[in-house]
Amino acid sequence: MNQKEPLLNIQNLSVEFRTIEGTVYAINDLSYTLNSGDILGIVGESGSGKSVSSLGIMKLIPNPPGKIVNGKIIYEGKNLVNISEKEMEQIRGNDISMIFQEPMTSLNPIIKCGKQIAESLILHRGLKKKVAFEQAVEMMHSVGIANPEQRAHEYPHQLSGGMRQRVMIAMALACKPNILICDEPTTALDVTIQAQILDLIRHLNKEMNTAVIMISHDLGVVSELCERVIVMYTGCIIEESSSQELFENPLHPYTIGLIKAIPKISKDREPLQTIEGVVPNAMEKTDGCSFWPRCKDVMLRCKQELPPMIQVKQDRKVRCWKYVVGNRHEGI
Amino acid sequence: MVKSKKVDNLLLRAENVKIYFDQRGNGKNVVKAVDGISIDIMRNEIFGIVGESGCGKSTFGRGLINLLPLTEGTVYIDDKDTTQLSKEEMKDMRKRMQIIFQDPSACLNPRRKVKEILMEPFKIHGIHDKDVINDRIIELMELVGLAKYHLNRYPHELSGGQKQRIGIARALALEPEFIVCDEAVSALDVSVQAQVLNLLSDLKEKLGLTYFFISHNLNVVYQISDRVGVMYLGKMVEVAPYNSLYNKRYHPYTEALLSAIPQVDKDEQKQRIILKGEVPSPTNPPPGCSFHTRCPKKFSKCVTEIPLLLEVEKDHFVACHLYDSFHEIHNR
Repeated sequence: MNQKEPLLNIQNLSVEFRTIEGTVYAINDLSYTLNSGDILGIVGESGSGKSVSSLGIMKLIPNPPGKIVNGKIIYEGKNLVNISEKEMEQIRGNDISMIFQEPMTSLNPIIKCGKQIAESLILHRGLKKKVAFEQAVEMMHSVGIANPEQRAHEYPHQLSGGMRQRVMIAMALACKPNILICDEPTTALDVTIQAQILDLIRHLNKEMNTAVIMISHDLGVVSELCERVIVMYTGCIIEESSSQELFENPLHPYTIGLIKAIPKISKDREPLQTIEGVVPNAMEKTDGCSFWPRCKDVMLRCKQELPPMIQVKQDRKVRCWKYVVGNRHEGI
Repeated sequence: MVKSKKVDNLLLRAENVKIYFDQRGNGKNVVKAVDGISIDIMRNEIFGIVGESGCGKSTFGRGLINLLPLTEGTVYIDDKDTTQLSKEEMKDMRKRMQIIFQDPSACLNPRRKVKEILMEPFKIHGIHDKDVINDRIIELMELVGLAKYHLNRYPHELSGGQKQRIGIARALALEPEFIVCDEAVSALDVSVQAQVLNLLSDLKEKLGLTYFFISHNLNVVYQISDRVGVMYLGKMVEVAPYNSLYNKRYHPYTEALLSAIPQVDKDEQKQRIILKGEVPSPTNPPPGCSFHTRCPKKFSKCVTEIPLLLEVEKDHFVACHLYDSFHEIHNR
């Protein structure tokens, strides 16, 4: 593979859900790239399309009603949107894996943990059952499960929430994938356990050089773990930046509002600043920027035209008319 | 102990509250959800409580308003022992104490319109004058920032934030004094969470309410509370006014809990204390200090002796053997 070529390149992806009540525009014109070894964060509130975008990469969007209507997902020169289900099966769990929010619902309750992890090794690596099981135990050890030999013979309900999530991670990483997609992996866990799991993901990223896409509604999680961050709102990317810059100097009014709305533990307590209004209905497509009804800095142009992604600096893009020359407000 | 002498402003006093769940009914496998907690809650105070899942915070909250029977101990409201009230007296008392739940979708009847949901408390307490009820309902909607037309909606037609506002309006219907907020903002998105937190603060000022505010999120609790209690395995390990807790956290668990919260602000991302292991089972809590199995600072006394909740600084109480000598100095 060419050195400069990104590991994963998503171009102009749009996903719709056609329902009886109308079409839900879940993702609109999404483009981003992921390099090997990266940790990319995707943040947004419920309904922003962050989960659908990752399901799109795995081709796990239920069809019907969901459909990728436009765009490309290029992985190792292949466009995943067009390949057959059979080819996709080769990639899923082998090259690209995913872990979900609620480990209890994503693990099979009637299969022992070790066997569940071994499954993907048997399927993708063609290993014999016994060898696969031994490797599964090894995998469990490397994700920090104590007594893996014993735990491998237990069922998911016998484990705690944090342990189950470790089993999920072991399963996802068994075939040493190039990309690990984590969809809110710690949302169902307690903070002290969350800290353990985030530490584990960081460690595995370094050790195995697995690129990670971290999807979360928790800006804190993303800020601590990720190098690069994408902020989504109503299915669009509205800001893309290095994590350092994004949280120090957010540009989009939505990002600014979101960061201010988080309660912080600081010496002087102030009332929280809020973003007025609610997220618009994803069935209605507006001509302008989807954030304008809630935006403090709204201009006439915002209501008429959707702003493009504007490159304000190297590695720094924002979808807001404020940052177009001529419309520029003070202070970028 | 935390309970002080006679205080004028006292609304609620819990004395040595224990709530056990005897799972089999045979005295074995008893879950000690709340294991001997005493607190005082002042009028117009927000008492915040944090802890991980299973620490007993919700059980304690429910015990305070008599939604769960106490195994031992008493709760006084205005010097009245709520455990000794007759059914009639209890019904009267119920008007004064209410609860707001975590999941607004689960606690609103999906087949009733908002108006019918809000009329329920009046019916139950024998208020049948239609004009009075209607006026009050409109007043309630204004208080929680909803419009009149929302009254004819069903819960599924409302957003998460709006549903939670209905939950709040229902709790306020009978003009209570004391409200238990059980993870009231945990299911909401950040921007909506900020709106609801501000609303709760405003209502407290406007109506002179007192909250017992339960959350697993220390940021949220810190934002809203006057005093904060930290629970671990059914026991209170630290209680302090919020600013005192900001300045100094004595208990190693509080320190770890705080450091485990992912922070957005890069400057706040300090060295993290990652606790090993998980919360032990409340059926069989460890002897001595229940935190000793995970404590980075434990010593021999912690394994054998249960630490008492003692005052180490003015109004700052800690249950930890590290500060035994502190207490003696303070009391001299």
